Amino acid sequence: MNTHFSEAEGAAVPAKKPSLLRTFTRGLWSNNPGLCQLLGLCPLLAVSGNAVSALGLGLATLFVVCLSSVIISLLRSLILREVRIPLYIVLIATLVTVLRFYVEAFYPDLYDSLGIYLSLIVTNCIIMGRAEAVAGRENVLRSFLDSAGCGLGFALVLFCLGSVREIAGSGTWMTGAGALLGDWAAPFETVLYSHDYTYLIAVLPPGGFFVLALFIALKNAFSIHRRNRIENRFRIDSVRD
Amino acid sequence: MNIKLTEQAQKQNLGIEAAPFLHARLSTRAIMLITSGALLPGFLCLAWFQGFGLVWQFLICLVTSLVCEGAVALLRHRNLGRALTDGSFLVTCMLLAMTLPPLLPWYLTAVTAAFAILLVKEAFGGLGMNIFNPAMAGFIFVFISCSGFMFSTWLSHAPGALTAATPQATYEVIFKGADPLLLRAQVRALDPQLKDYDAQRSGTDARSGATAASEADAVSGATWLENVKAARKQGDGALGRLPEVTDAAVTAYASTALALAAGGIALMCLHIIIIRMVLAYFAALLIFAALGHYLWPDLIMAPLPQLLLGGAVLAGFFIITDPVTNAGTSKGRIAFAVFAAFLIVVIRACGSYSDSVAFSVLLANAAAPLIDVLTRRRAFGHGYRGGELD
Repeated sequence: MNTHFSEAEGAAVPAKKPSLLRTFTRGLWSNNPGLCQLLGLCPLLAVSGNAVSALGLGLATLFVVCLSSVIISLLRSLILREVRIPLYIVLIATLVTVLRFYVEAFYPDLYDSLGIYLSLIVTNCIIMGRAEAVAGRENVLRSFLDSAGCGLGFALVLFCLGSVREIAGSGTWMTGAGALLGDWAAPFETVLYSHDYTYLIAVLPPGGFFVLALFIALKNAFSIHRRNRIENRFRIDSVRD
Repeated sequence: MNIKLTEQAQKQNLGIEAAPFLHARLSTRAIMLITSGALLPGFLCLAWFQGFGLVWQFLICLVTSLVCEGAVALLRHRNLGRALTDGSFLVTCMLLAMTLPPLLPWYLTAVTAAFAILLVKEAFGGLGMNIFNPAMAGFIFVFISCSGFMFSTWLSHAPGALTAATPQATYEVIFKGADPLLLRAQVRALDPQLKDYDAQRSGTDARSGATAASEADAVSGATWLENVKAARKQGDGALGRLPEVTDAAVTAYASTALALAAGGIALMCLHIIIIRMVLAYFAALLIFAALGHYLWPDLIMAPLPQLLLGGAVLAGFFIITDPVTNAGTSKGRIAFAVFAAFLIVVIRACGSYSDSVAFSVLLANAAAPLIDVLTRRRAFGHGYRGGELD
């Protein structure tokens, strides 16, 4: 709700660009692709069964969104407006293919656990959305900061979602980190509690929806806290139920 | 933004609701209390056949839901007293206590009740706004999450189980985490046929308790529906030589069903639940089961076991008739009941879990808005075929 208002007001007041810092942080919180724009839900829900593969996909998406934004922003004067979408897709697909080969070569376990979702980054709406909304119009620095914010926000949401689901569903955190991400990550693998206390549903598909919904609710509760307080001050006791 | 909000607050018409002004014969609280009272005979009957664990489960659920409802009321700035006395969670707690395994560890019961109240009911806006039946959704939550626990803590119905599963013994299992196997063996031993069966299986005296029960469990599952499923999986015309339900278990199931029916009929007389919905449900269940059993005897159970085993009777009187989560039109309610009955028969035959009532109810709940749209009544003056008003 908040963002709709602010965007609408922004449209009414002409042409004052947000600061560079704001461009970056917008994607992290107020316009977070996972919690606010609700883009890229398919990988968000499908790969977040454990923290490590979620982190892997988050980093991959971050890489692709940053690089594609920079390239599109550099080429924006050459790209014809009428055929921009096919061109964007070709660019993004190239990057994703490069990334896929890289992951397949150096992190084969991660490649197996991500499966088709690594290739599906091509169709991830976040990347297309950033290309269309910012990279095709703004200069390189601004579009890089914007896409880095969005990618980072998405990766963070993915990682938190994966962590919560893994902790609740199997009682562990970052299992397979060493195998999937390389030896530097091995010390993060922890077993928190025994299987007797876990809830399998958290790692099943419904669990993804539950946890994501809780995240969104929490985010909304934070961001409209002040407004709620004002609203509640004006409530009339007799209408309370 | 502040100014807009003050205007909005002023428009709140000082607590006067808009027309039409309808008078309800019974308040929500009265309906909920009467429904809980009507569940009581079934509850006591089940407690006699399944032991005191039911009461503990009910108390755990009750405390959890009181805490959850109170917390939500505080968060929403609602009247705490009204939220804690509306009684709807009482019905949810009774339904949960009757459906959950009697020896389920307390923390699982508490999480189930919290899930039912917080996520299924309050997250959608509280009483009257929930899409899914809280008790059934909570049951499925714990069933899918910890299916191992669901079977290891189940007590088979046995006459006078209350004498073996005493408050003290069940307390030890539920709260202190004692092994439920011994208690399960004791309850099984109350059923003479099962006792003989266990004795035969282990080849030793049935008094050697735990080992006999665990070996018997390997061939006969936790519930009779589980046995039926296992027999169906073995194939080769298996339902013909089903593990026969013992006489004591038949008595237990039948008397529980009668007790539930007594409560349900009382509710019908008070016009709290809709008679045609209940009738449509049971008729549909029996017809679908009879037809299915006639066509595919290997796959689908006969009508009477379909009715008695599992939660079919409970669902018919107390769960599908939930006024919040069923369809909104008269025809739609009948369609809803028939759909739920159909799903019960089908999912029992083809599903991977043993009982299907909770899944069927949730699927029917999810279909209720669609049923509403499909059975919408024609507005007066519209939609005549060939008429000029259309």
